[in-house]
Amino acid sequence: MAERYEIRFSGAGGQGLITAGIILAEAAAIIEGKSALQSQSYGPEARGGASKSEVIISDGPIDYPKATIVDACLAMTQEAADKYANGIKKGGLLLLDDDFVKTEPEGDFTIYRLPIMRMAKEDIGREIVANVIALAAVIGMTGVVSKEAGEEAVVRRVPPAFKELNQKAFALGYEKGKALLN
Amino acid sequence: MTRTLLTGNGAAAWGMRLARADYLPAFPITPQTEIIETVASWINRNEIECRMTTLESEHSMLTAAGAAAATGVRVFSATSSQGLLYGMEMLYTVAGWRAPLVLVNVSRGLAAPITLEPDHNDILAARDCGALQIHCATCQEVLDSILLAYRLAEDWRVRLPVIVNLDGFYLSFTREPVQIPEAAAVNRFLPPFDSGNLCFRASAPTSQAVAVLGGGPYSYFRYQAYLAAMNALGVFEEIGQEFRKQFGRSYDLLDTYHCDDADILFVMLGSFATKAREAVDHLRASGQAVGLVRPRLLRPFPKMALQRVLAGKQGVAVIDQNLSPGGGFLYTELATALYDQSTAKPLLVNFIGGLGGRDISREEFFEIAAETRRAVTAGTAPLPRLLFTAAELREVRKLQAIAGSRREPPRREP
Repeated sequence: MAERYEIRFSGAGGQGLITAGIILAEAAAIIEGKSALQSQSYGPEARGGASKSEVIISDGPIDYPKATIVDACLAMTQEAADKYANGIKKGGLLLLDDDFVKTEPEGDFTIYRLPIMRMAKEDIGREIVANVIALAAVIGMTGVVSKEAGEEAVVRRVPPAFKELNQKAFALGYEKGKALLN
Repeated sequence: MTRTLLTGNGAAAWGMRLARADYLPAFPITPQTEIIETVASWINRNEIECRMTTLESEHSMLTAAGAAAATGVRVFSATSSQGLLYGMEMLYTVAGWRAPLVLVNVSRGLAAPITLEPDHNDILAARDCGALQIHCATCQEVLDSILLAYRLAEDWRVRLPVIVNLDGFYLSFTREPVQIPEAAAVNRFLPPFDSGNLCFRASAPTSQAVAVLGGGPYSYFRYQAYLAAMNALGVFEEIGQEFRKQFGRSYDLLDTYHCDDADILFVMLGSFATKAREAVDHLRASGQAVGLVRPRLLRPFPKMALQRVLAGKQGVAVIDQNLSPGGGFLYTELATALYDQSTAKPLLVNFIGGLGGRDISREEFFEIAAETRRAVTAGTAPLPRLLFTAAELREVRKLQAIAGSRREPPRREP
């Protein structure tokens, strides 16, 4: 059976994590030509509340579209960490926002921390790019798509006026994500 | 042909766009709203020519849809769950009008309790209204089924509304790579709606039908609609072959997977069947001859096709994503479909799973296969069984404790 890699992005509604999932799936399915799909789930709230987006990437056909047990998980808030940082594969990885997740979920996986929101605000100057930093960090840590495919997918998604801002955010996230593993 | 990532809702909107629907009466409901939003944004940007009207309810929405379709306009609309039920009265009416519109239903479990997630009790409530039903398992199938649905609805041998069903969340909000066919190829497959002499001219008003009829004529017209629905089986096979020639993807009445040499079959509807498909691979890897049948057309019910594929099987596990007295709907329908044969029938075992979007795990498919084998050996099927785990029961008990619910019956005073 085909190699299947599953990633979950979770946080608060409105943080752009569903968009991050879509961009990753586009990088894999449209740019790299792999099989990929993305699904999402959220509560009845329009903003706030925990939200998650899942991406499955495979080198063969994907029969079932929902993530079952994920290889990598991101949690941007404590509520998301409590609710969605479960079902992580043994030996998988969990990336947490250093400022917003105080209580770490327990399990047989490795926890990494990055101050994602703070990086967006202080290093890039715009909180709105936190999702791109998080996405780039996950790509840097997992290598599930290439750096180039990830950046290309981000650029395709954002309005031209924000291209450079997002490229900067992507480069920062990728570098910090990769550095976590060293 | 463009390959792009689309949600099931996005695929439904693209189906409508490629079908060049002229009229969209709309009323919002989760998880369907994205379809209407997508089409509305295209209309706003002048990318498509379509008249959109927002109505005050699904009841009015279906009335408007039926009236337009009955005068030769190609109509598209979409709803879900409670909305479908709210419009139910008019579903029977527009089917009686023989109005060939296409309606998408994004399945969502019915209240109470309220849920946003999918099961099929909403769409199955519409099983007797006279509208046809196509059930989808992938986003590609959603887009393609809408094109097939217009051909089916507008065929002069059928002329009935068609509902295309997709599961909320599992398809509505799941992005999959979808091939968007070229407009020119779709135009060849689906030419403009030829309504014959049915049209609306303000200068020459006509009446299409008498409003009130007695038993004899009433029976005649309802029976005509029934016969037209039965014609849809043959017509669907015909247009399915045409579709394959034009676009290279095949859509038969049934989607079958490893059925030929199987002794046990799973029967399921909709996107949860993809989970069964994956389980079949694992069951086969463990040496078990299990297959999967997924009816695409539910109305009319593809009885003969099911009889053929189920013939000679030992056991059939019918996994219903709905709940009804006497078992799941698919189970009772399938039992009826097999009963008029005098030959040996497979033993049917009924499981209820996926209510309110509840997942069905691979282990449960293994258990379903094992339980079906045990029933075959025993020669008798157990009562319909709800897929539910001890962990889930503990969660419910916690909720009940928080709510302070009292589970014991009230004590009688001596």
